[in-house]
Amino acid sequence: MDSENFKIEDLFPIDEIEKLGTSRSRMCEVRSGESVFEDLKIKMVMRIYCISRELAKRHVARRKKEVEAARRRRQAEAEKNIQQTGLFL
Amino acid sequence: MAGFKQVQQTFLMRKLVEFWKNVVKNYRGECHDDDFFDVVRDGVDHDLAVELVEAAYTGGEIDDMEHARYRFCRLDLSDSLDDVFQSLWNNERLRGKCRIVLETIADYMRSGLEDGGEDVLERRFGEVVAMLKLSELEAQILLMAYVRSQTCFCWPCNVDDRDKPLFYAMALDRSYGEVTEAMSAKSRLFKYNLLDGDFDFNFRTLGGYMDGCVDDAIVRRFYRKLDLADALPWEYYGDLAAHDGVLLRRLLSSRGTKCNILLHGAPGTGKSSFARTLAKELGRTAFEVMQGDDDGKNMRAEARMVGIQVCNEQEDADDGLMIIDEADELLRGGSASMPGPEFVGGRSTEKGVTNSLLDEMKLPAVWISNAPVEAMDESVRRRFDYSIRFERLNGAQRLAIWRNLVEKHALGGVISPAMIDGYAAKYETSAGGISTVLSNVARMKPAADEVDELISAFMKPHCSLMGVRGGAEFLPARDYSLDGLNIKGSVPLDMVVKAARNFLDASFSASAVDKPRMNILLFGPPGTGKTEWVKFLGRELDRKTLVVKGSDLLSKWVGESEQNIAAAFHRAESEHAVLFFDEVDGLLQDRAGAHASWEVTQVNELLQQAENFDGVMVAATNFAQNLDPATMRRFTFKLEFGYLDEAGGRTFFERMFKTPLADDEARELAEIHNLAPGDFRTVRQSLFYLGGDVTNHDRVAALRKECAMKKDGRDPARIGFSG
Repeated sequence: MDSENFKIEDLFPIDEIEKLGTSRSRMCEVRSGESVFEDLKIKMVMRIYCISRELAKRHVARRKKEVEAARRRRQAEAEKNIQQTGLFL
Repeated sequence: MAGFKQVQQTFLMRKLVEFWKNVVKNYRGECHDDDFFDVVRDGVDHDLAVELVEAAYTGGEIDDMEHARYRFCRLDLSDSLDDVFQSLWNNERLRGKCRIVLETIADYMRSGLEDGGEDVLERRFGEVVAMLKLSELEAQILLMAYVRSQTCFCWPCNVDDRDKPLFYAMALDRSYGEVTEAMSAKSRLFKYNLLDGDFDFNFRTLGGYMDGCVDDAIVRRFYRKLDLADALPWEYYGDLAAHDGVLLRRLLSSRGTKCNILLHGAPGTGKSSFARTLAKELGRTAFEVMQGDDDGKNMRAEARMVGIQVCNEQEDADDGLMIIDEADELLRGGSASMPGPEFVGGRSTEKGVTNSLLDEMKLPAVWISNAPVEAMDESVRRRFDYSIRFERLNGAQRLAIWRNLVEKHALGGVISPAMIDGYAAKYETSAGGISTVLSNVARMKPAADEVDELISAFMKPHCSLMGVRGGAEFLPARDYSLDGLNIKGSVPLDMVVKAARNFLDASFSASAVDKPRMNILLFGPPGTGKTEWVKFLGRELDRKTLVVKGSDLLSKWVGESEQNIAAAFHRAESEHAVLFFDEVDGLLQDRAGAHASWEVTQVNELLQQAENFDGVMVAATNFAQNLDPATMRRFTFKLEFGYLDEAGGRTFFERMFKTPLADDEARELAEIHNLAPGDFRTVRQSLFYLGGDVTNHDRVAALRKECAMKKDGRDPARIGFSG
């Protein structure tokens, strides 16, 4: 385990952490139905934050949504910029 | 596996990922070279790697890094992966996260390389490790060096040669101390030249084999077992087998004998052949250390050194005999003028490496060198348990070789024993030369009536090419006679011949208390008949004449002239030949005028050899006044050949031109001073094709002109404008 344990507070808001609990259970084996890549990704997050598999999975899912949202937002902004630029042409 | 770029060399890639992951784990500094992340760039899809980054880092962290002040740390996830990870790595606060992401990527890449099936590299690497008896750590270091040389593996920063062991330690996840020790100059990695001086994989040693380009067994690259079926019989070596051979046989007959034997001498003197015969005689398996690689190119000395060590390690010391032919370069110590092999990146002296190798030999070894032994360092020389200097083949040895090769090539039906005797006496060439000529002749399947012509046709150019005598017999002219010669000595010439005959007669000297030597000095101006008389002497004594010119013996190597002198005496003795030193003034110069020690030692050597020589020795010179004073008393007979007197001139004229001289012509001839027998031969040759048109007057005129050309003639040719 890497010496630099990153804080769980970075992943979830305090109230959500209280709701989820902070048990940092040992890493679980590869679960059926998950790809090797998905499994490694979850293990990576477990390792970085020293959290349970369940929490890690939730973080990964949550982060994926955030990234998707941010990407859509950036795309929308970019399209808007293009339209505004077009008005001046 | 989706997203992973499949590679063929599974084992290589698996090791690449493993070593790279260890560097990621252990390296603590900044990354100055984005090539370090080429493993990721080339190994996984961009989107997958970014997905891991986005899962590992929070949105805020990524946002901060995307707006970092310094370009060095500024993140742009759309960049090439090597740039992305260099930015992530150089964010010191979050480097722990980056390290875990990279390790996860390495694990992902590794998972795609599990089932590679049989891999050539893995198998060959295993063979090399087993054969060279490498430790586990040495094996890993070698593999790491190979991976570095064959893949995109890069260090994260500039690494000096002296820091390489530290980075190797990181890549192997081992302690610095143990890696440093395993990479020391004394380790097998350097001993076998597996790594070069920069700690990099040495392709000259194992290149081509590791990656499967060359299919031979690994030992085939270094040495081979010799077939001794056609080795010459032991008895063919005559004196050599009887003296040195017996000693060597006793020395090597006990099992487990560590023994280094040096065979040295001129090329083509049968050293290699003797080594094979020795192995056969001892009942040992002969192994020859390779001289060339599979492309026929000469192997570097360092690669041959590895071959010697591999053979030494692999073969049974109780049964084998290693033959290291053409070992000149291996045995020469390193010096500015004589570059030796390059070893161990210069951390150890070349001489030291040669010496330690000689010390470590377990297998008896025969080292064969054509170079003068003086080119070897004294410390190298003293490590040989026994050495034999090979002289040029004598008549008996050549005869044995001719007989053996005629039989081998099944030419006995067309070449009679008498013809073999004649060839052995006529062509003073090496065993290799005889073998080449006979194999070419055999290939042409000659009839009995053409074989002599064919052998002569092949032998003459060979002798000419090799600069050895062949064909020209050292015999006097058919009409040679002592009559007319002007000899100024206390004993007549015919008496000297008789004395030499008595010297060779064993019954004559059997009763003598002391057998005096038979050394004869001939001196006098050129052309006065010295050489012709030696030919006559050889014929009268029914002995072959071994002609040695001063220039044949002088060598650029200090000490070799002396060895050549000794060899000439030895050869003449073994061939029972008359030894004739022509133009001996170059060898017997007055020591008072010597500028260097070697000028003195060669005179000493010749005088000493002449003192102990059990045969007829004749020396001839045009400049007796230049000879060392001590030489004079070493000669039993001293004969001065002078210019012809009046009667001698007339005798020679009538004998050489086969025509009587009229009195007026005789008077005309008598007026010519400094007339020598050689002048008659020269004039006879020059007038030969003019036939009947030539008169005695023309002949005398030609002789006068010939004598006028001489330096001390009384009527020198005038040059210049003076009247």
